[in-house]
Amino acid sequence: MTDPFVSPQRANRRARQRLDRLASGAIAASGIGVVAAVLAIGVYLTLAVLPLFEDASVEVDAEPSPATSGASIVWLAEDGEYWLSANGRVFDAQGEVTTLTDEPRVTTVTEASETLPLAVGLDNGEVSVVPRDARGQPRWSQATRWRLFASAPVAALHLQSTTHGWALAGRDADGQVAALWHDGGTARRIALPDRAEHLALGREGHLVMSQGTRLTSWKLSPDGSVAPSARAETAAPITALAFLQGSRTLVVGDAEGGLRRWRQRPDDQGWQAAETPYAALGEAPVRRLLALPRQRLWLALDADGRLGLYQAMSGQRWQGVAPEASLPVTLSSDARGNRVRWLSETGRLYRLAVEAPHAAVSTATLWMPQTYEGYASDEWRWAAAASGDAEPKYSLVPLAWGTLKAAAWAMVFAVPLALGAAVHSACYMSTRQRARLKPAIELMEALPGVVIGFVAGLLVAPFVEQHLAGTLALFICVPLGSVACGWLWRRLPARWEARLPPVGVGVGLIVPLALLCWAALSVSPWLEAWWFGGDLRAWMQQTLGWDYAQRNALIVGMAMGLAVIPTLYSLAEEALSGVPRSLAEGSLALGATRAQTLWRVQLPAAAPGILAAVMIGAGRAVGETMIVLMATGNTPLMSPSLFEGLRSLAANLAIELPEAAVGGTHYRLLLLGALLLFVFTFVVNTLAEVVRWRLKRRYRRYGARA
Amino acid sequence: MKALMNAIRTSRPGALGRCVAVLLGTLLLPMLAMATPLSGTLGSIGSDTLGGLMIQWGERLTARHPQVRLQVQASGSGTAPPALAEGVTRFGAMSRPMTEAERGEFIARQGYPPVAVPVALDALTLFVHRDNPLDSLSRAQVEALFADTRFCGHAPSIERWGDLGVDAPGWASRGIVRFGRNTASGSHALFKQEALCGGDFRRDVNEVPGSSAVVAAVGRSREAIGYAGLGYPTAMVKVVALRDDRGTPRLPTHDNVVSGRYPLTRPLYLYVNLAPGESLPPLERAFFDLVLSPEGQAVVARQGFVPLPESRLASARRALRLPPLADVTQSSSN
Repeated sequence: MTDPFVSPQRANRRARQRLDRLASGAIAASGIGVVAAVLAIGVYLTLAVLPLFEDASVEVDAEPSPATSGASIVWLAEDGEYWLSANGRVFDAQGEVTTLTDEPRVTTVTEASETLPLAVGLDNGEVSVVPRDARGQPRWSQATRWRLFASAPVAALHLQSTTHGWALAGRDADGQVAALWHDGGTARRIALPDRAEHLALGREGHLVMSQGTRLTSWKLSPDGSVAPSARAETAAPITALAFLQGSRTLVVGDAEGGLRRWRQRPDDQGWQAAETPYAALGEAPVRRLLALPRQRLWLALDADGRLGLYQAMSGQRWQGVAPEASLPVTLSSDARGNRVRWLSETGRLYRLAVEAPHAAVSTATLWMPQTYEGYASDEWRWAAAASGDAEPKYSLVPLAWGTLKAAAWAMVFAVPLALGAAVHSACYMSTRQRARLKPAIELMEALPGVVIGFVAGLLVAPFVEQHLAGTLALFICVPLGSVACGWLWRRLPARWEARLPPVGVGVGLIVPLALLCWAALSVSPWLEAWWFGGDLRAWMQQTLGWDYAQRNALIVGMAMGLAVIPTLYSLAEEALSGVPRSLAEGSLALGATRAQTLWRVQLPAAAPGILAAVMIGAGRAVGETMIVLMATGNTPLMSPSLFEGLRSLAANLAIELPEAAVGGTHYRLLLLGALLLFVFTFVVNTLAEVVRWRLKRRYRRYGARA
Repeated sequence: MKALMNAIRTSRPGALGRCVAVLLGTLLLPMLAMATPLSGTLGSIGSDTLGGLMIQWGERLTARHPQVRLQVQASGSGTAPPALAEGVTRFGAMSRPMTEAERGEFIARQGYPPVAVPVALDALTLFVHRDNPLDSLSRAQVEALFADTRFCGHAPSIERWGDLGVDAPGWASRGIVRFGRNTASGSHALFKQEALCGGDFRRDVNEVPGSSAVVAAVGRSREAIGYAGLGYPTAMVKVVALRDDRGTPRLPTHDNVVSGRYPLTRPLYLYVNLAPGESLPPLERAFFDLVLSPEGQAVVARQGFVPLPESRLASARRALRLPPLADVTQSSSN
């Protein structure tokens, strides 16, 4: 039998122990869960970012398949491979599709692209142009014939779209060049007065030809005329030419194996070679350049059978050996640019798979200035959401700059205010006053960033723009005015103070300050008229060269400063009030004044804690999204100016992530930005916590309650 | 006799029943099918410019078919292609045509290209503050105002209103504040393509989410210029005419937009995930039937955009295998 008096107690204790174990288990589990969640975010971001830095590759199918007999040209469409034989028959995987031509034999064909018509060069000097339907399928029955040369076979052909139709340029075996400009109904033939070994045709009739070391460019016009636009000389004879997407970059390969990028000059006056050539494949002449339709990639093949994959900005991404040493009869890619077909002289067909989804990204393109199309000098640029043929610009520097700039200006506003408030409430206020003030300031933290951003962007920004002189006057008047008021208050006879109610100190400061603000705002227009010719902004622009943008770092500094103040204040206040009383009391007892005690004893003792507060505040400012998004114009500038806008990593993420194709380069770069933010705030906060923890341990040594 | 009676007795109800069933079948079933109300929720993701139109069309669709709802998520044209490719939505609103890359992404996921249905015409409009004396701009000036690159013309960069020939007192030396749409918007992409010839925006063009926000920002700042869609003018701003090749200023009026004389004109699209040879599911069919009808196009006009001309309307209906317009007006008038 159990003892009726002991048993319930024991059972109770067991229950309590069980409950205690359960509680500590649950607490530990949630703690571990939080850490695991944070780690999981980091791991996810890292995994999403890693593919950006994977190596590009070009895989050659081990087994070449013998091409259909007599095939001379092969290309890839959305629905599979097509061959065109020299006798004018078109095949697909199932067999013969149609007969394009019976009599003249096929000599060449333009590189396939889904959106352009297909042009086929014939051995009687004619070309046959096959339009495509909306799905990119050639409409064989609607092929039209045009005469390019009197009788000589067409040796090379290039076709490009124009505003109303297409233009094509061809060369015969002797180097004679002729072009056709098609405008809706008819095509005009344009004969060029110069011979050429290599041709490249760009958008809107930009034709580039090379003969030896001479590079000439021409402008074809719809009315059938042609005008030379520029000429240039290269060091070594040119052996291959190719336009990249958008036709504003030309890749030139030469007889010494050199590969160089030529940019259209910003003023459209001809072409300009890049200063540094790309890494060469070898010493042998470059024989073939195949521009892949996406990502500004191209394949280069030299006479020794070396094959390389290049990207316009990041340079060589892959180098390997060509499937056969001899030159291919045709080399063509599909519209996505990741499958390439190589038809060798011996009639074998190799399939090449280009794996370079993020070839445009390298450490240099992310962090170093680059010369982009249309610019005269090296620049840091972020324009990743490029549409059409525009060149994407993937520099993270302007965004990192904007992030740090916004955070820095926010700290400039927040640190003096928050630290002043913290010092005052920790060292000067009575416990009762502090108990009221602290929650009030901390309540500010509950203000959503969107609201602050909205007020800053739509109310404060236009106000400051209209009253710029007044606002700047306030920044000078308020700090000076506070000091002056404090000094005056000291000078007042003591009996006045006795007569005023206890809140008088506050009133004594606030009323004159409010008067001062009002005076500064109302006097500033006259000051502006007197000193700055009535327009401070125009004066700043003319005298100092400062631009003023309505949404600028000043606005974001004020708004984000406001958002950071509660964090800063509450941490700094904690650090200051944690300084053991014995230290301050000892200092006062030795005859130091309150100010001396503050400067020499309390602040140095709390300095690590205050530093930690500033670090955590900066971490918050760096990660803040909505305020920056709404209060700045999101302009990715790189100026330190207080009066110009910025674009931060976080705001950029919010703006661009919805439009980025999942898994694409742009998407992964945005996540790289997120990872950078994550790492930054993680490191800063961890450091700050370490500092605070060590400080607490030090205080404990002085016997204070930690 | 008895047997006969039995036969009649047994067969009669059967025959009658069969007759009734056949009658019911022939008469009622189509009626039942017609009476089965369309129900469900349609989702659309995409252009902010089209957002207002989509909501209006959604309301009208609900008026026609009370159990159909349209959910519109309008956060920028750039959001439509990923959503379409992933199969999150069956159609997406875009204020610009899909780029090759976006189209390729769709084809890679779905195996066929999406169908682009033009639903209205829009023009990008340039706004200045109502006090600004500027009336018209040439294309080269627009590029010089907004771009760092010179892909269209070679005008020197414009920093002050005086550079544009505005010589009213107090204006010539004033700086210019530029506003534009955020990168996810079709307006941004189209302005880049058409007005800047594919060049780059100046980095100090403020990016604002939402066309009305652009207009609001321009209305609040005397030095500002900005571009947005057509349907957003307010009393605070003035529309700037664009000069065509001959120097004639063209305002984005109905006639100038339809005829294409106003240079920055664009169709607004709905992109549909429609496999070749398939026809639209009933819900989508009802929606497009509404959008591409005179009623739907009246909404377009009321929202400040320009309705599609008859010919484009007809070809859009043909592409979606909707009945030609004449039949629609008859059946809806019946």
